[in-house]
Amino acid sequence: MNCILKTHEQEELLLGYCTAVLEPDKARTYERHTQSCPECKSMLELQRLAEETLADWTAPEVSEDFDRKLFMRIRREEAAQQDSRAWWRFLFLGEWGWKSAVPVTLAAVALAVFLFREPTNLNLAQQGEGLKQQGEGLKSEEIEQVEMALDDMEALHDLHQNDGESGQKEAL
Amino acid sequence: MNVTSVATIERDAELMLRVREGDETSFGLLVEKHRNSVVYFLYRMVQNRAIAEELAQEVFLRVYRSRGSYEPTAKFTTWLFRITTHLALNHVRDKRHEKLHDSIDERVEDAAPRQLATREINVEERLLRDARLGEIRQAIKLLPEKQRSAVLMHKYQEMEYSQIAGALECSESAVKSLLFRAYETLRERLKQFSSDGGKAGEKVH
Repeated sequence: MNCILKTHEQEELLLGYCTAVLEPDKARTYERHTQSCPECKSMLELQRLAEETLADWTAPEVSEDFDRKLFMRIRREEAAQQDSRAWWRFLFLGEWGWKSAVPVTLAAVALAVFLFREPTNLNLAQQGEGLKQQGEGLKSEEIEQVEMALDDMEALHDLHQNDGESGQKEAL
Repeated sequence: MNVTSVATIERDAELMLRVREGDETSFGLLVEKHRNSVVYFLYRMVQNRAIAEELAQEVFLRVYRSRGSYEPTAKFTTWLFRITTHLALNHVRDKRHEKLHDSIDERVEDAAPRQLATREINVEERLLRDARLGEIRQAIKLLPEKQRSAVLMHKYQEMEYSQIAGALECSESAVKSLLFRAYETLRERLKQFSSDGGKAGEKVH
């Protein structure tokens, strides 16, 4: 036998009846209906069985230290937040005394000196080495030039002498 | 809604407003009051005690973190269960693809202590009850997440459709639909335990 109620209506009445939220008139009408409708009667029995079984399903007790753990987590979180806030204040809001600024400034200066001075010395050393090499290069070139000039002068002198001797011979 | 529940809601919101002002004692009172319902709901959602408690800790931490922006626009429990279901659904979705490990050890560890019956029940009745309970636990576990949340809030938190809708952030008609489908599944799973095997109620198509 098919129930005269629509599925949605059937379900709504069933749940309302089982959870006792139906108005008394509606509840009585539904009760009468279930007496004559095997489908709704069976649904009601099964719903009651489901409700009973769900009621039997008890959850285990909550651990005794649940609250302690929770408040410990809250404390830890708050402490971390405070630390982080304090750090930001220290860094950006300048909430520090002049005494604490001294070692920080000195350290910064030392670091700057280390970073900027070392490469400069190195550069100078490198430059010096380059100039030295350049100087050596120039010296050797000059010597060669002087030697060449002396050779040339000697050759000219010899030529001149030879020319003079041959001229004397011709004159003779 | 009766006078007592209105008073309770106002009390919860009032406590939360005090927490917003920095009163930690009020937060302690809220935890004490809602701790069990949150943990039990999560336990039935994930069916693991340790995970349920871990998630519940996260729920209360989020409540505490949000104290500064708290406005009593919704009922406190609706707000609380919105956070709870959000975390539970995220957890369930994250674990969806993981292999289901329903080992015997887990069953033993997570099995709720048996309630002491006020009357002696015989062995056969107890076995039948345990079998039915196992069936419904399994059925709940296999329900789609939103149906599962809806049915647990409806059954154990006794929340109204509107409150469940608020927690799940959907319409009341969507909640009804979720509940109807969930209970239909549960009834179907329990048919084998009914006196006539559910034959009388079978629809003729």
